[in-house]
Amino acid sequence: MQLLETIFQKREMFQNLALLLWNSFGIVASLLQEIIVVYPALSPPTLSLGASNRVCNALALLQCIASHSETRTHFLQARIPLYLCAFLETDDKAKQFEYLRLTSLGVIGALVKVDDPKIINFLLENEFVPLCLHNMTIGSELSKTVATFITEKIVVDDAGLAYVCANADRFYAVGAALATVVTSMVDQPSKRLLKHVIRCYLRMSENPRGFAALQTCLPPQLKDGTFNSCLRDDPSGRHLHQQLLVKMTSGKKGGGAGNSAGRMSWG
Amino acid sequence: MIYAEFNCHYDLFMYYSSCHGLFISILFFQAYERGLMIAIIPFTSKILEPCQSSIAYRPPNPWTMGILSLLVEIYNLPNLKMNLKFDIEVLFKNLSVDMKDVKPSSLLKDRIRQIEGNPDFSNKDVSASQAPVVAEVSSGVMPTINHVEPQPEINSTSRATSLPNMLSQYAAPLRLPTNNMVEDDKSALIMPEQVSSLGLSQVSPSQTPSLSSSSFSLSQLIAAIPRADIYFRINEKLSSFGSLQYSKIMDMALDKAIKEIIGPVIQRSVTIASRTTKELILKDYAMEADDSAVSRSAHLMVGTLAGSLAHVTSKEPLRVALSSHLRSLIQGITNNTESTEQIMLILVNDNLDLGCALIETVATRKVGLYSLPLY
Repeated sequence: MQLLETIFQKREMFQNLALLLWNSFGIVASLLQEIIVVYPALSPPTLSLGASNRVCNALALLQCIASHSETRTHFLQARIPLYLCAFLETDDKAKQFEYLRLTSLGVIGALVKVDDPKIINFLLENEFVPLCLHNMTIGSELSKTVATFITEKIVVDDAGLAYVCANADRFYAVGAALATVVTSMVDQPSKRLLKHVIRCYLRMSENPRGFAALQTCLPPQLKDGTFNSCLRDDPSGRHLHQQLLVKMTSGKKGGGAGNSAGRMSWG
Repeated sequence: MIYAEFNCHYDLFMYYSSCHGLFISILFFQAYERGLMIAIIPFTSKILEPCQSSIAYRPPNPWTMGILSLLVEIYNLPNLKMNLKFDIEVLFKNLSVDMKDVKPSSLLKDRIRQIEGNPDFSNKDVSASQAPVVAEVSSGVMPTINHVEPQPEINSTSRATSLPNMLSQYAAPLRLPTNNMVEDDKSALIMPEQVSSLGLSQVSPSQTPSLSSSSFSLSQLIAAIPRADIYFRINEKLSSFGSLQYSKIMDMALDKAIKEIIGPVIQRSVTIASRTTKELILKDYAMEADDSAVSRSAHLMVGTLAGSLAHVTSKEPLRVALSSHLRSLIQGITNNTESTEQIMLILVNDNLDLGCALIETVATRKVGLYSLPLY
């Protein structure tokens, strides 16, 4: 679809492209078809770079719809994000699959930027958290960054925080994914990604059980100065990091003494 | 004598034409709608021109005047090509009939003509030419929107074509039927609870009230699984592991695996596809007056989406379930653990897509049984 690529390239020129796309006859249905025709190529992985580019153009247009205040609600009501789950679940490391996952994450990222509890609830109900953790674990730095950003937005929401800290399995799954991200940054730190991670930990520590669990599972690299040079030139990052360290060592949140923390800890 | 003979033949020709099938009015209707008047008007002129010399069919013969009346209506259409107007004028002149004396018919008012590429009308002022037609439509009738069928139709066709091919490429010995009633009953007892609990967590009743848990009867889903003409692919490598009945083993394992996972997969796929289709069809067909067109498009879309989602969603769960059942069945026959794993892997890799295709077929068919909550 040459037209798809043309619209994609010129999308910045249109102020209300999202409204045009949503309200034109058959456009969204056509974009959905672009998505489902590549499903057979996901497993076994036979996706070509050309096919990946084509479906990513369609996803970019869907991201326009997800970003616009007037079309976002319709986008959710039509359950469009659920057709991206199959892309986010893939684990092939090839460039065309990585690009597909990154673009899919971009659509979800556009949804969570506005801090709307209804959107967070939609993602929780439809099990997007495991998909974000999956991409934090296997993705490139850019995919890790977008996936961690989404996870941060989820835990910043009250319902999201409750969801993550609801039981030990979920909490440790999130913790493990964050730890994987931290480990992956030891050799090549990313300031932006590191700040997303720290914000996740800070938010999780606001939950009493989360605070207790983090006493034991916070990655050592965040405490032993591994990332000091990375954040040296970033005041806000340094502030976040110090905030996290102070909270973890003072034992304030969680109600005082070690006994209380021990009592609330899992296992 | 020559003149009399000519008249006699012409009258017979016209008599047979009017009685036995040359229904010029119907030809005009079709020509008007499809942009073919450029052919039918010269044709009619040639037929009617000799009427002047005919005792029976000269004006004011009712049959002849009826056609002239229709021609006047056509003549008055906005933006009619000049060559067509000219043909009509010449005909009236040859018949010595004044166009003003003929009352135009009103047979074309409710007919929608093809606009794009229509050779009967000039292209200038297309929007202006449309307005009179719309104005002529009676207020109680809404004109049908000239829309293009959604692309899922193409995809549905191609996928429907690919399914038989996928099935046929698994050439193998004939399938041995399995009729294990005890197993069926056991599955039926276990699965409905799982389906119901999943439904409650996935969809709140207020969102899709018509898709209640009872709609997802497991026995109905199992009954919908295609059973005829299924051939499994049995890899040649397997002959080195001995002459086991691989087709029979594969059939039993796939049957159990599909029953195990099909409930939640179908429910999720149909629920999501129904909601998507409802939102998009109501938006795209908001102005459509023809309910059957809306319904046809909706069913086409929801079937395609549900099938695709079911196929892609079922792959990993089916792989896990199939591997598990194959492993236990093969272990019951051979004691070699290593060869069990190799046999299992070969059978799964060669037949997993077949299982997913079966589930996709169930999803596509099953969704048609539920009424879409469009209104």
